[in-house]
Amino acid sequence: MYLTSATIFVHNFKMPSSVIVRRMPAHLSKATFCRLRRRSYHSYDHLPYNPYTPSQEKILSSALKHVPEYGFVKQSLVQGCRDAGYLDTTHAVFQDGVFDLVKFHLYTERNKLAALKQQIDEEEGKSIGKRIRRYCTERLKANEPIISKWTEAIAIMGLPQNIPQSLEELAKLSDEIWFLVDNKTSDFDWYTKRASLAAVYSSTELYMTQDNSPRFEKTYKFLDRRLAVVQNAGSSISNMASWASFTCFASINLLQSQFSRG
Amino acid sequence: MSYKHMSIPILRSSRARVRAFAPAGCARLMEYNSTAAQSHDTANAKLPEKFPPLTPEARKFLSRLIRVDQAGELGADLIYAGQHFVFKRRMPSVAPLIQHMWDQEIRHHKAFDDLQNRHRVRPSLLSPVWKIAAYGLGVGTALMGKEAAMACTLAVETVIGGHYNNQLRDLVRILDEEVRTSTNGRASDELRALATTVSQFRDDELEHLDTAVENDAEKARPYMLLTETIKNGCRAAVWIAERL
Repeated sequence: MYLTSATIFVHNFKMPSSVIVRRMPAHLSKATFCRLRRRSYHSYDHLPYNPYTPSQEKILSSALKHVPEYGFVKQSLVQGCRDAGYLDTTHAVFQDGVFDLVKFHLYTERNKLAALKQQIDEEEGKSIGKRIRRYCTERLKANEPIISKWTEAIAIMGLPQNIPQSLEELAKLSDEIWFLVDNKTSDFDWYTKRASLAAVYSSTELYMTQDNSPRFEKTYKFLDRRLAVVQNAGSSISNMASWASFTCFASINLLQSQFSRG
Repeated sequence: MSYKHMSIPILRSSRARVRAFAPAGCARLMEYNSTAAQSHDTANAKLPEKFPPLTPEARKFLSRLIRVDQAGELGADLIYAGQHFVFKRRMPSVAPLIQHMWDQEIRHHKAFDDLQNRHRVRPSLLSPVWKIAAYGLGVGTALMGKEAAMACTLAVETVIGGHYNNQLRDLVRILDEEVRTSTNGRASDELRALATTVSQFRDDELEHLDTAVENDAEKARPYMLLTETIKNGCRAAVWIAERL
């Protein structure tokens, strides 16, 4: 199946990319193309906002199948377009190029975690630490087929123009995991919890790219160590806070009794 | 409630402004609720249909609404906590009055904490600052005396009541849009419940405003300086908490 308007690429291949995108059919060119919008307010009565059109999803998911072979390069996108039944040049509609492919991988794998909630709740019990570890391992497992090419993706995510979106995606993953373990917090620790989990996850992901052990055993041990460090730090901070508040109230009471005695 | 005799024009105008929205908005909300109740009776055990995705603007508005209201209720909770801390010791006769308003604020604070967690909105980044500022304001005004404490309540509740009204106006607009576009001709339960919560809390805040006026808020000296300073502080805090 060839898109009629996609043929403009064949005839006017010297056109600036902005013009081409404007002429793309409506179902392929959303105004904010492939930009993962901030998904701030989570609604239960409304359908979730999907940043991808069905055709984009089709192209990108078939492109991901070629990543183990070619890596995060244009060739995978071209193959994806071909598999989805579009012209090779259709890959030009992805404004961020290969970074769109990386983002799509992050987006789909993050959204798959929610489906595991019931199973993980049953298997891991009530311990928040255990459940968080399980979600992290499940997410890392999704990187296993493409781990040899993941350094390329990390390099792409680290480009200056891509850093904000990459960090946003990392923050969303961290938020997703805290949400799935039913953690409720309305205080400043909302930020510290998400930041520390994001740090643990991203460092483990980096470790995994260099891991040659069978079934990535070393990676999962590394994850356990990092999580333990964060948990210890968290409990010592809360111990400090309760000690401080106790001392504060004790001294107020002491002062009060001194004054009332005259 | 009698506020016809009030002599200070600025007070009258701000209260009038706060009340201005009440009749029309409340009638609309009640209308939505009654139509929803009817359709609930007829639609027996059928799973509710999901509404089309919220627009990015609506989601931005709703997350800002929850974030700023949560911060506001946290502040109100701690202002009354601070006032109660002082009055309990210095003027035990006033403490029950503060306690009553404090209890309502605790309820509001909890409700918005729940909403914030349920809808995955991030809390205000400056919540430690709001906590310290609000507790300090409560203790400070209570130390200045009962009238100053009531003037503080008056100033805070005027700004918060007006802010809730602004939010309700926008919420009703979103509900109107949803009714217009939905297939079954009604708005989502979630947003209707949110609008009802906001309007209930607005009424509670206005009740506190009346309590403050009845308890000699206007006798505080210097009244204008105190209330206008607190009002401007509250407006600045609202502006910041929406964004940070």
